Amino acid sequence: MVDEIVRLKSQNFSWDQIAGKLSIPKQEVKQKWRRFMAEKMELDAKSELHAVFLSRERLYCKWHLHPRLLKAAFYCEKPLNSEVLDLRIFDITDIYFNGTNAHSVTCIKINKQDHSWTIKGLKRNRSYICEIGYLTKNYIFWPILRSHPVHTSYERNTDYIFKLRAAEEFYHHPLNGPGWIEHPDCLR
Amino acid sequence: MKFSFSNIMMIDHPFRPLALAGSTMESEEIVDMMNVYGYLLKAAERAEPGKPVTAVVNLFALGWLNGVRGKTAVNAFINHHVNHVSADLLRMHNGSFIHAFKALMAEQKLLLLPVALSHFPLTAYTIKGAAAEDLKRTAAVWKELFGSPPPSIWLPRGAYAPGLDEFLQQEGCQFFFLPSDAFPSDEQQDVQWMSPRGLNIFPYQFEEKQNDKESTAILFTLTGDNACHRFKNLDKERALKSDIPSAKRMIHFPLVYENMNDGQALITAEEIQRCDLIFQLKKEWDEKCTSSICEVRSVLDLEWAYCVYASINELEEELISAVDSLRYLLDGARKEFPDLDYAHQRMRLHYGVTLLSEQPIEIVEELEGAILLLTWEYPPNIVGGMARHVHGLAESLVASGREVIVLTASHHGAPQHEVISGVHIYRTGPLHKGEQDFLKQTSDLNLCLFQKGIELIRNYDIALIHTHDWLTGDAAILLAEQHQLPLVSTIHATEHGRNNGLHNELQRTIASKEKVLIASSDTVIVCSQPMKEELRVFYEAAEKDIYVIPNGVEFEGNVSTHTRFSHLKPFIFSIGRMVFEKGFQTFFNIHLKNLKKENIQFIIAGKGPLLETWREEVKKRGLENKIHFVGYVSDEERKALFQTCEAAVFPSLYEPFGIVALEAMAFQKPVIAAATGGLKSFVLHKQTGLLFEPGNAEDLSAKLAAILDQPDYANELGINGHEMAKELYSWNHISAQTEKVYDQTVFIKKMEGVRT
Repeated sequence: MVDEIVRLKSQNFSWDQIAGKLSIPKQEVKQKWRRFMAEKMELDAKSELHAVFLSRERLYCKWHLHPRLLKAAFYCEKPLNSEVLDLRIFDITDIYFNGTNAHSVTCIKINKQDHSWTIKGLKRNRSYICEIGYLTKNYIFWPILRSHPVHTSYERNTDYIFKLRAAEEFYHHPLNGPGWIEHPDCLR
Repeated sequence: MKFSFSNIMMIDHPFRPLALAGSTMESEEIVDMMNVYGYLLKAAERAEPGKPVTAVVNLFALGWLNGVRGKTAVNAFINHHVNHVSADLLRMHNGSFIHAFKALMAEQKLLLLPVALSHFPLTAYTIKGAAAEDLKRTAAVWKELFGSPPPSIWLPRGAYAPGLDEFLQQEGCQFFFLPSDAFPSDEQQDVQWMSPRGLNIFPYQFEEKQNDKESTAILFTLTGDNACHRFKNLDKERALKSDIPSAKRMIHFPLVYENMNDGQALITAEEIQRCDLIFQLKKEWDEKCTSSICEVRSVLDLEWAYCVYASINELEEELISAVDSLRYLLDGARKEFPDLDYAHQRMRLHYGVTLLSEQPIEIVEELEGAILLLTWEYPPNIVGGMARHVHGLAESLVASGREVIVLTASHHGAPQHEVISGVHIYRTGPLHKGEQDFLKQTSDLNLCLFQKGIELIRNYDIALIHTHDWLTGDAAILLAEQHQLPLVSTIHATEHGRNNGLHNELQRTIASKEKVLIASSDTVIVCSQPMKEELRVFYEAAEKDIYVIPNGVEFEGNVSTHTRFSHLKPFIFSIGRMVFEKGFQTFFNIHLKNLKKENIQFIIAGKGPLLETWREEVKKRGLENKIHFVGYVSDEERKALFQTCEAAVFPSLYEPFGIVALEAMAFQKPVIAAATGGLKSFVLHKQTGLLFEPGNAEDLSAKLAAILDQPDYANELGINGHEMAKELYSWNHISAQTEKVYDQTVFIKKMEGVRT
């Protein structure tokens, strides 16, 4: 069906005409076509992993893994199961994360076809980072993509006191950089 | 200026341009819009200076009100609803909300704050850089409307993460607002909160959660329905507090959003997913099209921002239309062939801003000194379109404060020097007017212009030379070279294009002169995108700075009215490609009998695959004496047909742009158009034309009867339409763009000087 729509569209038929020919509603034709184009575009898109807060304790992870990248990863390290990926969320509060020193880690098994996942139960006033990868034949986590870090909201309104000094320091000496995690658009 | 806030009005009325486009004076959409912004105006007018009414506004709506379409609608509204609360105030400002707002802001009776344009929570974008760009775009639109940076930008849903204060600061903001429940409750009195980058932060809370903390601003939501009531009680609801807290305290938040401490969500996964397709679109043009798109970048940007807005606000119909529009522009840009006419129309009708300053240049100095315009013809000497073009440009450049000197060929009966509407006109040469060899005559003229030009450069402070086509190119090149002046040339047409190739020695010589002119010019202006392509391909101008400034619709004064169709008068005219979506089949079913003017004819011009089919259909139905599919018509014929028709009908089932309807309006003809896409955006029902339901022949018949039976009414619609078309493609617009090119050219020329 989609192939037919794409073929007619490429011959410059109008939505109405295509809808007429295939006897399905115009809205549906448009939808199908858009979905197809979106998928097609997806193939060319860059690989990336994003993490944004849905609420103070929920994180929404969204990724795009280019098949070529995945293939390359599989080439380097054979996966235990090529259909299953691993989404990991690390608690990296106040450390320079090196892959092994996280305070805690949560593992989520995801399907290769998935594009997003919502992680619940985040703790307050903690820093997190997400990675997507898979288990190798040796049952070792092999990361492919990493998100930017995020920091959850304060536990209590008065918690700002703990960062007051850092904030004042930054205000006076901005060149030293802030002592906290910032909006991902600030990363340069 | 110090700020303190007690009441903030949040104008929460969805901006739906499609609904506005199809609206009449009575429809809810326009009434709501006028109520919300009208009552705001009135409340601000009544405010005490220094104690302004504070309101958070949607910049899409403000831009629309500033656009051609919005101004017309506002004027029509206040003429219709003479006693509307804002009518007097708006009349004082020629129906311009922006002017009225500006005046009240200058008196410190009003403080407007824009919401980040897309209304998408800035912490939830799953696309890198989008939050920073959203703020930047918001500030750019604001600056164009109000001429200065926004004092603050409202954060959608109160969502904040550290670092956003930096972007706000970069855009010139001085403060911002965050939900009050994020602040320590017992420390709020008498503290002025400050972000680590030094911006003041003001806490706010919703009116329904109001807990009477004096230092917190209360946010009132305004919709079309409650606007009247709200503003009446504005003073009673809460007294303005006057003392400003003195102690400043720094505060850093890792994450804040509205109702966070109640455990509510900022956004749902579904909402993000809904916007995902739109985010994908952005990636597409960031990576694929760079160079060709830069001219339409700002319109793409705004379209995209609106798609996000429509998506997050679930405005489905609006979203489909905006995505179609974005796709169309994007497809064009990807083929290095964006439809700039459409882009400009979209900006001026829909978004009400141009955002031209977004070019990657640091500072462009204002050009001082006079412009020397070289042209082969200038009124009263009119041979082709160039005279009218240069004339229009010169006069509106003078109107905007430039000194303009026109240097042109002498003309029988016209003086050697005169000043008309502030434009200095000098006429000279050629010496041998009777010379038969065209090239020789042109060289003769150029030498005369060159000599006069030297004199003019001596007597005037000339900053830039602007020539039109190759005919005066030699003089322009010589003058520019010898006096180190920047040279701009407008190429109206090329020899290659005029003759569809170069076929003889004369044509080749002219083409080579054109090439030399293009190569010697610092910048080149053309009137259309195809023209730019032509220069790039056939005139080796791939590396040149070529600017497209569309001429738009022509407002012809004298058009010959005699054509091979004159015997068919009176007639209704329609034109378009003979394809299904143009909807010409609708004509077959109109009630010809019911039209009182029974002798009325229908002329439908244009080629296309369905031409023969429709001609046969006419025969089958025995309508040969009524409906005439005349096929291709020449440019002259088209103009004559527009000039002599009773009305123009555009029955398209699908029509993204419909510039042809604007053309009919330029001829002051009443337009009847199908209520679809682009047509709806400037054919305002019962104001600048009539709309009918696409494909509905009965409706069309009724509208035809309305026009034919009431000549005065038809005339009025024609005049209104003419005004709108003029506003859209006015010389002021074209000269403003040309001036930007001048500034740019002078800047580049100066930089060259620095390099050498």
